[in-house]
Amino acid sequence: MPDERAIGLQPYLTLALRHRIGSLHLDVAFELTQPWTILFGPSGSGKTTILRAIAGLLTPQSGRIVTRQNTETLTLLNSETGENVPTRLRRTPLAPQAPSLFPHLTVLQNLEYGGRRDPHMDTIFGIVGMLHKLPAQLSGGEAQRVSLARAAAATAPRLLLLDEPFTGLDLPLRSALIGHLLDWQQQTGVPILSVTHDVAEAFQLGAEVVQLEDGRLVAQGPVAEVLRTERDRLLTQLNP
Amino acid sequence: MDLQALWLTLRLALTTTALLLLIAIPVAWWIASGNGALRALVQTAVALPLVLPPTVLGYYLLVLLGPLTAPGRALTRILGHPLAFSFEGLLVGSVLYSLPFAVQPLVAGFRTVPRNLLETAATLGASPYRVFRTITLPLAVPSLVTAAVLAFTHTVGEFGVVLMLGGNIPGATRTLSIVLYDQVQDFNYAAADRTAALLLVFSIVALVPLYLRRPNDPRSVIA
Repeated sequence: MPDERAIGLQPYLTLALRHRIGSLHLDVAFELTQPWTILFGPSGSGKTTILRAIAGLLTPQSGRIVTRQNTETLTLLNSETGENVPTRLRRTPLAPQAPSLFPHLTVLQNLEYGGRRDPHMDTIFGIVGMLHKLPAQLSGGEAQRVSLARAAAATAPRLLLLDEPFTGLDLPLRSALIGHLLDWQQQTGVPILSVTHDVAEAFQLGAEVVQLEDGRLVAQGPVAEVLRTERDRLLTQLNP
Repeated sequence: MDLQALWLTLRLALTTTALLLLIAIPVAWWIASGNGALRALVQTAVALPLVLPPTVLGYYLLVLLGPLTAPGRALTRILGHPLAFSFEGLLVGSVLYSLPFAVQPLVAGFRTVPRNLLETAATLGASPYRVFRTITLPLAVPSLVTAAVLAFTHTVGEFGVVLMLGGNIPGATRTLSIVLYDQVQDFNYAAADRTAALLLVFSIVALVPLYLRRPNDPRSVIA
């Protein structure tokens, strides 16, 4: 894990949300202090809804989202006062589950869409050889790497949001991408909030976990504590 | 060959197409970017020329732009001549008559641009205008071509509105369609053959861009 001094133990995100969408009744409140936090839970537990609310792509029925960066505190959303910072000003780039690369732009143009590209990052994410290709010419894994690198290249992000960034990728590629992101975080000190429903992935990251179920927070803490039962259950299934 | 009518028809169709794209792009974007009663109302108004007989549209414009109404008198003062029975009047009629042919393909095109791309662009700091200019519009180029071709060909072939609003003034309002009509009325079928063939060639040439898209156009691969 990266040096935690880069981010500090002051909460960089304070969030309280209530939102009803379809059968989901989301009602959560938590603070994030660790460099990499995982929102963990089954499908439909509200993970993506939380990411979208932080990014400003969804306005919850009620809630409050506050970010802190160094000494700067910014309220992104406060349903009581009516504050609601537009998505483009939040500086919370989101890498969605499907890579969502702009199909008419080259990899280089995609990377530069959200800010100034640091060529060193191309090496970190292993995309140097594909800068002049179009997204249609990339494999699924390559597109995923570009998507992550593009989110990471956004101008001065407060928080990087990753929605199931490693889904569908084989283990070596997933490990490589996690390594790329950790290297990037080491250099930038930007906290990461990612979503997964995969216990193995959560353990691989070794990060802080916020566990959700049916729109409620059921636990928060180090992965080894929060997901121990889940891991033991999986191990029992593998070695009955 | 009536070269004057040919030039007038080309000038009318090209100017109408250019004006229509200028008007239709923002209107279509606005319609495509939401729902609601006002958008439905505007869309209905835009679609009206599809079902309205061209002569009815021409008649209303003739009355509205004529000396009996305040807008008609104001336009006459500004232009120095009545809008009806002039090239400018024909232009107004053509733009209104072909409006749905430009707006509707664009609305459909803008709506097919995946929402996740627009959202991703916004999370990367792009303003709504930048998202439109750099993502929506380039990905809707095929619809833009369709809109332009339909607006152009529709204007070239327009007859009812032209006759009602513009009359048959050589050099000002006498288009190829009117020439063809006159030639048939005069039993001059040899000349009518040539004019009809020319209009046919126009239509075929205008359709070529619609079907000449590269099969590997990245815009057709929306990831």
